[in-house]
Amino acid sequence: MTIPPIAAEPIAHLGSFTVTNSLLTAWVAVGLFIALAFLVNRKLTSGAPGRFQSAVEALLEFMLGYVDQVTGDRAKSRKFLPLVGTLFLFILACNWMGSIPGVGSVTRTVLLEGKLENAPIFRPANADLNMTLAMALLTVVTSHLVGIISIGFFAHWNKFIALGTFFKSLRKKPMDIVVALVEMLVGVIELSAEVAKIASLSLRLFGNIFAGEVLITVMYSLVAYVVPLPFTVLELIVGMVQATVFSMLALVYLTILSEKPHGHEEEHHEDEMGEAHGLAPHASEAS
Amino acid sequence: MTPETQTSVLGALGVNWKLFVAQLINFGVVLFVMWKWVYTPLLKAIDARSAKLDKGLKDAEAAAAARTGAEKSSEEAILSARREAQRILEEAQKQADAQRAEAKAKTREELKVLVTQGKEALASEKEKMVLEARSQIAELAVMAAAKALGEKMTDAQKKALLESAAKHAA
Repeated sequence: MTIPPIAAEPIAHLGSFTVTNSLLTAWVAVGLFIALAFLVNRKLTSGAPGRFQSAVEALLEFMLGYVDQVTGDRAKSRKFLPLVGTLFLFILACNWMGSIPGVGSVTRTVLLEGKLENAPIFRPANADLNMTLAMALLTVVTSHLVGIISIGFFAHWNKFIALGTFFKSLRKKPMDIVVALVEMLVGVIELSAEVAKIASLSLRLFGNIFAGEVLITVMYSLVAYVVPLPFTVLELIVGMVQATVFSMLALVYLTILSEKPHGHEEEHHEDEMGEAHGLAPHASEAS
Repeated sequence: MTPETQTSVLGALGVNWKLFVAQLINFGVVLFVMWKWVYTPLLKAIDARSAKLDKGLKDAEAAAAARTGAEKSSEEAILSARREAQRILEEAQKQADAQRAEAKAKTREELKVLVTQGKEALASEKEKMVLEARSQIAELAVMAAAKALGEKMTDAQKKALLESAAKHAA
């Protein structure tokens, strides 16, 4: 029994670039989505849609309904859907691809840390922190860009570095100045929370998928038949839940940062365990 | 895995900037493809379809209203045509009656004229006959008198006698 290592194993080299098994799986997923886009566009019509187009449209409208529950605004939902929907579908596809027979089990002998070892050719893309970190960083950076675009550069950054509020408070009562100072301190905490968002988003998904991979490997090495099946089903559910959690949190971040701050009240958001959080439709109302 | 990445915590978790960039590009490609060729065109198609549907429903409503209007107007037209026909029929009846009555009256008048004319002709004929008869009787009386008196009278006497006889006979 070999428990999969935390880092994805390199299985090939393209010049100086090392191709890992997780990267290879991600490429397959990218290919799947390009194929999907191609299929959608081949017979795209605004008249009576075919079966395939109807199915994709139904999925889209379903997701749009979910996004509406968080944003409460159809125009905003339509702006956020491409990112949120793609996050959900891509993560879901990557996670479920991990349960395809052969992924993680078909191996190739490679040189690993000076030793020859068997490394799987395909490993779940989200079992590689690089993938989840890339998506998390993109999500958080996008949410800040959305904030800047929708409420303005200074209004956006005043949420974190409350200098504007502080200067305004100088013309008011001393108590207001104290409140403004406290807000500035809270803003600094909020700013570190933005970094924490990236860490929590990426590590949660990576941890769940990597742990699932380890769990399945252990189960198959203990009993090869029947016993691992419930765990495989569990992995499918975990894959779905994690895709939902990641995309829902991304949606909540986008929504919160695109909203205008009301007066001195600052909205903030706890981001401890995403599972319960991501499924709550009005997480943005938490203060 | 390169030795320098292994020293940090992130490196221990397998983070490697080259792979990170590669995965970022991967997701970026998926995002772009989905945005450009799936979400945008499909949402547009859905919008276009719902607009089309709305228009169709509105058109159907308008068509139904137009049909009801047309039915009503055609019914009205039929009704008015029927009324007109009735009116024309009645008028024709009236006219025919009047004409018949007029013809009857005319005939009666003509008959009356004919009868009067006949009567008049009869009367004048009768007078003529009486006059003729009178003159013949007078001539006969003169001839008889002459015969009786002999032919001893002068022409003047004959004439006076004739005249007086005619006067008596009248």
